[in-house]
Amino acid sequence: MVAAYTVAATILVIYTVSLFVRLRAVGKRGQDSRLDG
Amino acid sequence: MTTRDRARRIGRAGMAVTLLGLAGLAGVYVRALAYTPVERSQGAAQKIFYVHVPAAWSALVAISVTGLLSILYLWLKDRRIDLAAAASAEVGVAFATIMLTTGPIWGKPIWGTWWTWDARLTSTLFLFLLFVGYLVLRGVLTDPGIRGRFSAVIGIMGLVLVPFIHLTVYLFRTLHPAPIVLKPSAPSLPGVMLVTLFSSLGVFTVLYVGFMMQRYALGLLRELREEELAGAAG
Repeated sequence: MVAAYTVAATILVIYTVSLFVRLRAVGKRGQDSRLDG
Repeated sequence: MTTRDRARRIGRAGMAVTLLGLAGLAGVYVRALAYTPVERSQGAAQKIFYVHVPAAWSALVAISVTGLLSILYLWLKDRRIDLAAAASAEVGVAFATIMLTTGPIWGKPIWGTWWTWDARLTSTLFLFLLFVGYLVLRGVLTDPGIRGRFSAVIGIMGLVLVPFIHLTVYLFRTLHPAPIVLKPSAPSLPGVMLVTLFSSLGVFTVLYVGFMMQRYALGLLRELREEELAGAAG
């Protein structure tokens, strides 16, 4: 039971972090390209 | 407000909804583990139900939304609809991963095996692999029109599979338990367990909405970036 709860929480947290990092990265690239342009 | 600003706003709102969902998940964990009674026949393993069922619910909702948006995309040819369908597909794969990992963890002590190739498990695994294929296909195809059309076909195939998966426990001999809530008669679960299940279903739905908003914003920002690069090159 503990394993199932840990797996679920881990996947949800990893996916949350992955979205946050990808959004930050694409936002930063967008800012950089506007500054370059 | 520009499209970029709108996408950023959606992304930020999505993050807030996700954090709310994660806080709710902590509450559901405390309720399920400390305040919900242990079921007599299955013991502590039954509590996996409060994570497995909501994950399956969110996965199937996400895949159904992808299918419905895919139909809309083929009709209206609006690229934002394609982006929303793709966002829902990726979130669906994340929830399906939880469903397909927590299920065997429950199956081992209850069935005596991690996995069995019965109709429910096999069709669910097929749906998961279909949507992994959907994401791989989108990563490979560069032309937005072809990418949208091809992935919409897979999205609709997934939508057709969802009711089939729900009905497999009635149509075939399967080890998987029949639904105890989503069935014509009243739910066969004591009130205290039902409250925990519905709380978890609510939290997983909030998480789906939060993830979906962020992933849609990400798709929109990526597309804007691609347009800018294409404009600079042209």
